[in-house]
Amino acid sequence: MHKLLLFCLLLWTNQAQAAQEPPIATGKMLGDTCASCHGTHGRSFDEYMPSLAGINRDQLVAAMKDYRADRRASVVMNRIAKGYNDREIEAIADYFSRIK
Amino acid sequence: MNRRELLKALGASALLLPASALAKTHNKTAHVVIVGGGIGGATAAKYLRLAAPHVQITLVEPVKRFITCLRSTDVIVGHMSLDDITFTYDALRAKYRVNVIHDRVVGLNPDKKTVQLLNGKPLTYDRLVVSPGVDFIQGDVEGYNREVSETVMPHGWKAGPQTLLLKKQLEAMPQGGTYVMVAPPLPYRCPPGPYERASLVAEWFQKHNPKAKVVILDPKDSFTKDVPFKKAWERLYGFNTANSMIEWIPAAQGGKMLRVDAASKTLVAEAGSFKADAVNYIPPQRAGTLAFRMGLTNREGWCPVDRRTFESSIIKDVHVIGDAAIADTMPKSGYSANSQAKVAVQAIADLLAGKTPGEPAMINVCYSLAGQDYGVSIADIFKVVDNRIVKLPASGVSPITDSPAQPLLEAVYQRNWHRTFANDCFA
Amino acid sequence: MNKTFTSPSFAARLATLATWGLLGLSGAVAAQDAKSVTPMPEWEYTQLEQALAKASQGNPESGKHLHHYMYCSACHGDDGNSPSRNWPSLTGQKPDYVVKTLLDYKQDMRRDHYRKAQVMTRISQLLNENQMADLAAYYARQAAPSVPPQTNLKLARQGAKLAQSGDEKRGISACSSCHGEKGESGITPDTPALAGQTPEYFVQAMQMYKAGMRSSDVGGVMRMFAKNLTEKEIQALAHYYASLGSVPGKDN
Repeated sequence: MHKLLLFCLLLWTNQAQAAQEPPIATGKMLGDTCASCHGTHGRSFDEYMPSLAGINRDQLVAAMKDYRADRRASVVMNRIAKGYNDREIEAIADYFSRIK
Repeated sequence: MNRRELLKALGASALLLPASALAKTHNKTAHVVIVGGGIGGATAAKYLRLAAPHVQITLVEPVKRFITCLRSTDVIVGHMSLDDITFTYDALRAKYRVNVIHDRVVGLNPDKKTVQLLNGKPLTYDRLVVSPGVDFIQGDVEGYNREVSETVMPHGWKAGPQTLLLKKQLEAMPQGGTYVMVAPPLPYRCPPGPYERASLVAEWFQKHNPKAKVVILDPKDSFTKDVPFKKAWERLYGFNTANSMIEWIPAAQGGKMLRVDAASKTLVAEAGSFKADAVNYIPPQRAGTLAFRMGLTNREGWCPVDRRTFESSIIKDVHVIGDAAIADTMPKSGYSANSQAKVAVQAIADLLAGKTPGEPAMINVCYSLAGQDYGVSIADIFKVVDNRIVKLPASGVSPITDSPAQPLLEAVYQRNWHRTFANDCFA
Repeated sequence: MNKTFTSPSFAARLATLATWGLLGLSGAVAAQDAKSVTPMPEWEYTQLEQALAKASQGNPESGKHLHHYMYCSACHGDDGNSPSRNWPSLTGQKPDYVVKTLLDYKQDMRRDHYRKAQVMTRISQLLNENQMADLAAYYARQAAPSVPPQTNLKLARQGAKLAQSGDEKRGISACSSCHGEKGESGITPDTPALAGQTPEYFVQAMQMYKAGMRSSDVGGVMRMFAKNLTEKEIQALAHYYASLGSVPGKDN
């Protein structure tokens, strides 16, 4: 019963949140934009660009936010990271961290 | 169970519901036909399989071995061979259960939802994806036509025989000769391509024909990545000096073409007459002819689409992707075609499952070589706002730095990227 | 320029590299082909000692500048403490080992994960010996890397015994005899410090030795040990050495 209440509360807060913020693409849809360089499903084809599949979620979130804020140097990732907001970065990280 | 774990569990159970519902709608297996096996079409076939395991997928493409345009300039200057940029459909067949038919599409019947093939039986589709690429407009300048382009003034803008013809003409140039490139007006396939080619030809001259030079006649006053390109030309080819190996004549200085004389290899632009030893004439472009035959084009010669699904605004249940589609701020690049294909097939998978397609996400990253060890790039993320594809303002072109590592790394990445990208499309 | 740094075929090797934009589907095959075209050079021990003896005392401040200017920081972290599972941390590394590694790359001796190694091969070719020494001095003056967040302490405990005692029956000597009791490195210049190293990178390096694809170990010592290690043991060793990391001081 307790869990059911929590469930309803979560659903409600999620919907309330969704109503305020513009919709974002799914983690998969966003992740597919990474695949053209990092490999299909984020599994690298043994090239310089690293695999994203199975990456630690928090590590990827931190990396993207560091790139975006120019706290971490890069050749292209600084520019790419600026195209994603916090929620999108988290969705991307959720998606790749779940791929084995 | 903390909040995130609970959300995960909820996400997992939520996924189960539509999956069982989806199985029902797929009692009659949907059939998606994809026409054109270039970067857009191949990516669409592969990613549709990843998004929709049960859909029947047919890809129609005339050739068995597809030569991509990417890196074809490296073929012209001898760093790669045509084989290196040629791909087969073996992986699409074997790994992704795509029925690949090597045939030519000759007609579309939108009412019956069939496409006619030159040799085979008509194909009935539930959804059709068309990735027709570009074709050339070759009658707008006096003296220039298809025959001239296939003999004296190749464009080399679709990799294949013209690429090799151009290579031959480059190698046959007399010492100290002039290579004239005619750049096309926007919109055209691969916006930085002409400038990459001019760069790599100049680099080739440094080694094989040191007094030769490249003249670019351009109907535009600016081009993509022009800031880092010009910086590279200064650093590598003496640009902006009397001995520059590259001369760029923009529209404002008379770069627009008036007429050509194929017999004497002479090009007359507003700026005057240029006698060339090799000519690389890249003509204006429009959607691939197939798109016209199918009735998918507007009066400008390109295919209008719903930007969120790439469904044609003219014919229902038909999606147009890649160079032929009108995609606003998105350049006509292989990378864009790959990204658009992923968006279109996800929308198709959603629609076939009775769902409303979600928010699209698109990207274009393009590395060009200004020299074999000198890369310049552009990286942009796109969103759809009011049925327009808009570029997010923050991303952009390579910064100019004084570090030799930066352009070198971009050149190394370019090669890594090219192999990965080809695999994302074809393997 | 020391003649060990160049060889008559060096230009030819570079040319091979330049034409290496070979394509994806046949890429793995192409990689093998290119390897067979030019045999991978290896160090003789005296040669290495001579090369390192020539290396100057580096200037850590110049090294710090180079670390950013040459984009080392993009992969190895703002101060050399790797933010990623893909690349090694460099902080606290022994200067001789950093210089040796840069020379390995410069001489095209690192063809393990060739397409990844190419970045280091090309960057190191932009560096002269003094710059290599400067970078080495910068990394050496910092504390060993922090314990990477992905370190698995249970696995680490399993690796401890093998690292400290080896397994003589299988011809594996104690890792600590060369790499130090706490992974701080030992007496020979070709022995890196391992404390706090990214475990995924450690595994990758060991797999390359095991497969005989990395030959930058002088005399083939690491190839010999790695050959006899199981995948599970390699994992355990990786997490053991990762667990020995420090919490780094702020970049000084």
